[in-house]
Amino acid sequence: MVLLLTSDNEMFSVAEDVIKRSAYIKNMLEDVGESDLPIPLPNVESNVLVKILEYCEHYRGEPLPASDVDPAEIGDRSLDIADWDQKYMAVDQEMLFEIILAANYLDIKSLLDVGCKTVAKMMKGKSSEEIRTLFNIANDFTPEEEAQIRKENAWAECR
Amino acid sequence: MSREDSDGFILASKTHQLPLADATRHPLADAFDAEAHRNKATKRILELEAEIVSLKISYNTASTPCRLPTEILTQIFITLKDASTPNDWIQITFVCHHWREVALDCTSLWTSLPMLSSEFSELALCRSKGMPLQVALPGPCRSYKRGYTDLVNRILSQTNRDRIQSLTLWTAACNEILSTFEGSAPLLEELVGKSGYEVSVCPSAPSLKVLHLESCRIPWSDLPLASTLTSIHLSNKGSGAGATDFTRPSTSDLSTSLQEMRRLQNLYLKGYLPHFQDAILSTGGVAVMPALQSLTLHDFADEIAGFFHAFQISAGTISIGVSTRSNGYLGYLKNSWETIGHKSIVETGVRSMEIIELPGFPRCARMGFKFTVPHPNQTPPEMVFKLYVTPPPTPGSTLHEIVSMVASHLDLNRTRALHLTTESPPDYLVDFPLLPELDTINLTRYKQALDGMVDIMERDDFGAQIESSNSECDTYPSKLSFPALKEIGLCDGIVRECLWDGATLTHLLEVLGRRPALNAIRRLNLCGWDSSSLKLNLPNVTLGTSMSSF
Repeated sequence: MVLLLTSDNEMFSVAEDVIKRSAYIKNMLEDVGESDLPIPLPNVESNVLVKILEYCEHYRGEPLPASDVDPAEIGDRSLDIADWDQKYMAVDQEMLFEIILAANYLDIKSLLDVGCKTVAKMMKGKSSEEIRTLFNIANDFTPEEEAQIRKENAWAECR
Repeated sequence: MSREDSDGFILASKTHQLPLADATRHPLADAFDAEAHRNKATKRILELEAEIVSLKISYNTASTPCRLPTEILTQIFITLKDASTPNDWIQITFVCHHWREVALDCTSLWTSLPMLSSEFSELALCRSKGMPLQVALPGPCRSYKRGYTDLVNRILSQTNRDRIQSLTLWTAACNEILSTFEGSAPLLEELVGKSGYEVSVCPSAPSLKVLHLESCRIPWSDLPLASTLTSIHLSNKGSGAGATDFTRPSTSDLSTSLQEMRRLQNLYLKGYLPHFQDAILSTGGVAVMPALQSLTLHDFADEIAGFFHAFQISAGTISIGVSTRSNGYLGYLKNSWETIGHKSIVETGVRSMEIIELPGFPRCARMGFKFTVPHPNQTPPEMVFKLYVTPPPTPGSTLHEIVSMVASHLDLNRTRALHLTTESPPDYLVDFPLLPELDTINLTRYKQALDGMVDIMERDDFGAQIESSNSECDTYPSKLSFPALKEIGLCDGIVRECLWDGATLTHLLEVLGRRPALNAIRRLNLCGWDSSSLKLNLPNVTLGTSMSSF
């Protein structure tokens, strides 16, 4: 078992073959060897780690992707997401981005890929205004900048 | 002018509001003051606008997607780009300052130019910052025409970037662009085109590695045949019977080109071989393409034979497709095979054989075979043989006769797999039951072949089996068809037909169940059908739902 300590000081005891989906933890275990000391995860809160472990548990036993493969090469180019992954990602936006950040920190490429696809899928087919509304982003362009951008991208207006 | 609140936000200062102009004074009394007032107000407006933008930028830093590290935001953008058109994903550059900066800095977003809009292509060309480009004019669309020819010409002529990875042109675009291109494409590495028209000019491309042109009818002498080429795929429009003469190279030109292409690994020529009469007059045996890995030739038998007379291939996997030049394909096939076979390109055993009937394609007859030329110390090659035939058009040319004729020219002793898509009466199967190493039979589309196979196996003589000794080896029947057969695959159509008539599968299982243990079928693949009921009849047989491929 591997001990993980989250940023809010919660301790998790996790089976090694589950958490080895994280290349970060896997490398750390290989470098450091077995230890009773917990691995601190200062960038991951306990509620996010619970979700991450749910993912790792689901894919327990599945072959790990080769570490030297570019994620852009292994991921298919469509926005297709497996059914289970879709249900797993059906969380509020805050949690979705926390999962993505944690997947990036823990180096879980497949989860990061699913997270990016989920966000891309949310954005697909939307105008810039709709994307702003979706993610609560303010339009921070000056009127002059907006006019310039509109002129520059007039070709894309007929969408 | 501004102050920060307790949360660190920048706020407009109320203490710096300008006083209102005095309306009681004469409007022209002091014009200078009014001008100054307007200037002050304008200045203040600009300051406030800047503060508003600054506030909005500050507001956005709290937005979750804006807090993502740049590399993750970039990955999201690239994922979106790969799954949508430019006028869809370009919206990400209008969302906010931060997203725009990230998108404009990410050159990967701008290096694929799908050329759906020349305006977008101009933008991408600028934002790709000298990185390798992939330019594509996809599909048969008419809207590309205006300005695209000039744009592609300009892209190809560039010298101020790393390289142009590929240029893909389809249909009329290929014709129009290649025909009007007059300069050279110094950085182009891959040219893929499909025209359907006669094109007489191709860019000179000294860095070209991959040349793939389909139905282009470009004369050999106008092709960009750089010595850097590693892969050539040329498919002449109307190749085979309709191959045009003007595109075929002379043996001398082809020889010169191939001798210069010492890095060439893959060569595919369809309708681009020299005329047989020309090839046969050459001295012959010129060694070419030392780096060759794969050679595919589709042409008439004479031209293929001429090629192998003129050139010597030292190694590589060779695939050959032979087209018919005349009616009466039995005679043609026989002549073709003898022409090619007697030129000693193939003296090899067939590993797998595929026979496919093409109903509704009169006068269509083709042979295809694939084999490997081994290096001197390697074991002899084995061949994959494909035979495409139409149902017999004339009396005396049944599938049985064709297969018998072809089989008589082939070494089938090491054939392990047979794939049949045939509607004709299964009498041609008599050529196969005694193949000593045949371990897999796959049947698709027509049930007749299955009936024929079952009939043949049913006639097996097991009489001597009971009278012989107890050892398993001694129970080997005196005549057993398909003795090494271990696996049978049936496509879903055949399985459905069998289930419909009910009797065939039962019959098949009975016949299979009679085979001696040593020769038992180990695997039965019933595509699209999964049932445990067969287990009762054939407990030692593995049931699969897909056929093995070979």
